[in-house]
Amino acid sequence: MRDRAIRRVLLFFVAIGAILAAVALASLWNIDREGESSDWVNHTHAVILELKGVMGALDAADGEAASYAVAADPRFRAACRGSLSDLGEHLALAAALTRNEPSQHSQVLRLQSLAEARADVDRDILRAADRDAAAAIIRANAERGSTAGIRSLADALVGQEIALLEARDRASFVQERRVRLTVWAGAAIDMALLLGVARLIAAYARTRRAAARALEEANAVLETRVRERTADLAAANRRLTEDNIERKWANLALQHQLHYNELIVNSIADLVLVVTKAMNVSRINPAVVRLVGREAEEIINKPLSGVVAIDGDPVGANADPLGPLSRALAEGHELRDTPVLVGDRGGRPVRALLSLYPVRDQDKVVGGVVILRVVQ
Amino acid sequence: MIATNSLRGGHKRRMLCWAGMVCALLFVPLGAITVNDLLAETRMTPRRFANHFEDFTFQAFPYVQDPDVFLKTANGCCQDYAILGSFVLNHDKFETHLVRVLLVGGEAHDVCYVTQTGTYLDYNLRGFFVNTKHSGRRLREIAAKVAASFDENWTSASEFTYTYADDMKRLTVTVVKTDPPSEDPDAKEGS
Repeated sequence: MRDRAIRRVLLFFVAIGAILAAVALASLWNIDREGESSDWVNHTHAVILELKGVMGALDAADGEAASYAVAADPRFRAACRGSLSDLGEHLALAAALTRNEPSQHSQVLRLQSLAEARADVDRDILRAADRDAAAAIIRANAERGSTAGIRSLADALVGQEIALLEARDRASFVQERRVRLTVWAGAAIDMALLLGVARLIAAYARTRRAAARALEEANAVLETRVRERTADLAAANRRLTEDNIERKWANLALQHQLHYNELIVNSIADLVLVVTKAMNVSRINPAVVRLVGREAEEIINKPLSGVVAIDGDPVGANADPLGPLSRALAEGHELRDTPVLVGDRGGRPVRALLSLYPVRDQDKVVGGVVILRVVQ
Repeated sequence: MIATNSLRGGHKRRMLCWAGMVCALLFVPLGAITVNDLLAETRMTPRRFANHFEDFTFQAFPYVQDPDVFLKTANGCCQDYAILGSFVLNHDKFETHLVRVLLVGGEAHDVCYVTQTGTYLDYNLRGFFVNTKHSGRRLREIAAKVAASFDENWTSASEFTYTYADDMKRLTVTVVKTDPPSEDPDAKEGS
C-alpha cells in the first residue's frame, strides 16, 4: 500500500516535471518565434523609413539644387551633395532590405532608377557653369515631369509595407497569444496534477491515520486483557498463598497430632504392634523393645510370629502359628484377650493377653493393631 | 644632525617634484591634437588612437565634420570618430571597415572595425581602460554587439566607404537581420 502510494506520487511528480519542461521548451521556442516576428515588424518599419527617407532626401536635394541654381550659394551646393549622399544611402538600404521580397524589390529597383535619374538632374545643376545653364537644366527637366511618379511609386510601396506590417503584427499577436495559451495550459495541467498529488497524499495520510488508530485500539484491548489476566493471576496467587498458609498450618497441626499420638502410644505400658495383612510387624511402641530386648529394626518388617506365639504352641513350632489372628484379620473382626506367649530379653516366655483390632481404609482391612498386656 | 635634516629636505623636494609632474600629466590639458599629430604618432594602435578621445563630448551633426575641427572642438559624433579612426589607422597599415548599424526606429550608429585586432572603435566607448570592443569580422556579429550596447534591436548593418576629399558615403555591403545568416553578403565573401 505504502510503496504503491509513493510510486503514484513519484509518477505524478515526473508528469509535472515533464509538463514543466515541455512548457519551458515550448515557451522558449515561442519566444524565438516571437523574436523573429518582432524582427520582421522592425524590418518592415525600417523599409518604410527608408522609403520615406528616399522621398525626403530627394525633395531636399531638389530644393537645394533649385536654390543653388537661383542663388549660387555654395552652402546650398554642399547641402545638396549631402542630401544626394543620403538619397544614395536610403536607396541602397531600401534595396538591401527588400532583396528577399521579389515583388517589393523590383519596385524598389524601379524607384531607385527613377530617383537616381532625378538625382542626376540635381548633380547636373550643381555642375552647371552658371545660373543660366542651371536654369536651362531645370526648365528642360520640368518638361519631363515632376517627382509625382516617384512619389506615387514610393507611396504604393509604403502601402504594401504597411499591409505587410499588419500581417506581421497579426502573426506576432497570434504568436503571443499562443505563448500565453501554452503557459496557462501548462500551468493549469500542473496545478491539476498538483491537486491530484495533494489528494493522493491526503488519502494516504488518512489511511495511515486509520491504521494507526486501529493499532492503538488493538493495543488498548490487548492492554486491557493483559491487565485483567494480571489481576486474575494476582488473585490466584493470593489464593494460593492463603491455601499454602492454611496447608502449612494444617500440616503443623497434623504433625502436632502425630507427635501427640506417638507420645500417647509410646506412653502406653502395654505392647502395641501394628501388623500388615500378611501379619508382618510394621510399627511398634517402646514397650515392645523393653520387653523383648531386641532393637526395633530386628522386629519391624519381620513376622509377628517371631515375637508372639499362641499360648500352648511354642514360638516357631507351627507353619502358621498365628492362624487364629490371620483369620480374624482376614475376616475383619476383632480378637480380645487371647492368651499368648511373648519371649522376653532373657528368652523366657512371658504370658500375655493379645487383642487384635483390624485397621480399615475405606472399608478394606489393610492391617491390624495388636496390643499385648503382660499377665503377672 | 644638520646633514640628516638636509638629506631629509632633499628627499621631500624630490617627492614633491615627482608628485607635481604626475599631477601635471593627469590634470593639465595638453592642448588640442591635430590629424597630423595622429598620423605622426609612431606605433599607433586602435587603443592608442582611442585614448585621445577620452574627454570628447557628443554632438550629432548631419554631415561629417572636418577632422581638425572635430579634434579641436573635442565635440562630435560616432561617424566623425569612426571615419577619423579609419583614416588614421589605414595610414598606419591597419585594415579597417566602416560599419553603419541601423537600429529600430531609424537611428544609425557608425563604428570602425579593425581586422588585425578583431576589435571595433565605438565613440560610446571612450574610457581610458576600455575603449575598444572585440567582435567577429562579420557585419551581423558587429551589429549584434553594437545594438546590444544600446539595449535595442538592429534591422540592418552596412559597410560603407568615405573619403574626406569626396565627402560622400557609399554603402558597399548590407546585411539584413531578417535574412538567413548564410545568405549574408559577407558570409559569401568569407566562404
